[in-house]
Amino acid sequence: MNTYFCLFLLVIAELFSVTAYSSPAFDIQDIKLNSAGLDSIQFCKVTTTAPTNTLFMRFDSEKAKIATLQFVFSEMPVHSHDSVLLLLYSRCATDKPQIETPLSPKPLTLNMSDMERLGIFEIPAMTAQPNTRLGAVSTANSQITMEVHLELEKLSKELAMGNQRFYIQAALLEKEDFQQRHYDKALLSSSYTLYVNNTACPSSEKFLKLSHTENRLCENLKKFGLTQQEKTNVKP
Amino acid sequence: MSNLNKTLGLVLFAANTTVKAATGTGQGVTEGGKTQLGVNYLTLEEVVLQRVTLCVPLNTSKTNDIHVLPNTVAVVISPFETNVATLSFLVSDVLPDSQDRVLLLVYSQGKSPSPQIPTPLSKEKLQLDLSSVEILGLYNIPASRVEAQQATRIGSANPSPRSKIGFDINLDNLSIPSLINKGQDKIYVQAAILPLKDFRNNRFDTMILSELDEIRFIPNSCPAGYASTGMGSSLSSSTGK
Repeated sequence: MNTYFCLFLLVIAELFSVTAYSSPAFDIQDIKLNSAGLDSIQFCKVTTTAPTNTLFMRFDSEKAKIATLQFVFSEMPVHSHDSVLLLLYSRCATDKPQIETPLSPKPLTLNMSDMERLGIFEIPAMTAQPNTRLGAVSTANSQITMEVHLELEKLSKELAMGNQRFYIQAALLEKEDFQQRHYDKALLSSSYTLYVNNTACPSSEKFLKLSHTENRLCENLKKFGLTQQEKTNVKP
Repeated sequence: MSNLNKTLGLVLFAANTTVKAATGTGQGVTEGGKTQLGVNYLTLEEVVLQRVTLCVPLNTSKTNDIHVLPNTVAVVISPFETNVATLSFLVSDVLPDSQDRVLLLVYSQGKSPSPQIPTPLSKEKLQLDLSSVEILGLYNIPASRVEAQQATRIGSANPSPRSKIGFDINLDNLSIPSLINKGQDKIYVQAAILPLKDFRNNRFDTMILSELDEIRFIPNSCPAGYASTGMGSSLSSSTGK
């Protein structure tokens, strides 16, 4: 009996080890700057202990118009249902999620009053048909890379308004849930903070000071809510 | 499942005759054209997942640079291994398309001196010998709508994301040692993508192919002139390609 039990445990352990390889959590794995050869745009190295998932981009809008960011997502198991991948951002964050997402290990940190959808992508379901002689397909994964073109003139206007940081999060949900606006079913990525500056890379001290300062908009948002000019359609 | 396997193998094999008749009817679209990953060619990489060791020729081995693996690799599988050994094949890039498609991972134990099916839309040509070809993995990829991206206060996304698809293959612990013993230790692998309607109609000339990868199965350790790349984890180890 004990032998059978040990064998059972081994089988379970085996199953879990395979699952761990093939089903990692949904997340943004990397954000890269894809503006090859452009000296006028760069990710700054901030030497101070910056919080995790913090990026600082310097640009010169006189010399370049667009900064292209490449978002590389973690590998995802291929599903038998259609999904929708969303890339969202807002200029203000919240301590308490404005939508509860019980299926997601990571909460929504974006302020929905100010949130905009940077990208939406349909991920079709795929049907696996494993075959055998040499072996059999056990799992299938896909890894998605998407590009976002940031307009530097628009970023300069944001900077002029006192908005220097942008919070970015991705969401994955079944297409049917998305269509029926069941956003509480979403899986959310880690939240990234992108700081931008149209002059030079900041010193560590300046960055430290900056990281404790909110965007001007958020201070206003707390006091008065969004002005008509600041309002945008909030639809994930 | 083995019936499906045979059927697909036969379908692909049967296509040889069908498509050969089309030779000389305006082929050569890729000649002199621009090469675009996902548009007129795919790439294929192998990554070890568990209980196998991947060996690459010494002159091409680069530590921590697994995504520039050469197209000729050796895979060590212990003949005494009774647990599942897994090898992953990564195919890049799959772009959204308005029609249903099929992504195939195909292997053969022989190489053909020239393509047995012409594929004018593909930069890479079919190099497998179809007499021993078998479909190792097949995925139906439904048509996906390329969503128009809305303008935001700071910019917008490129509507066409790129996907890398990984096939994790559980290698057969019994048949591979047997193939090694028979001296049939080498396989050739290519990935292909084509419209589903063409696949169903046995029209394989519209395939977009990957390069040919050669995999040799070895029983104990990396052969002389080869170095182990160590263990990797599926897609994540090959980003940044």
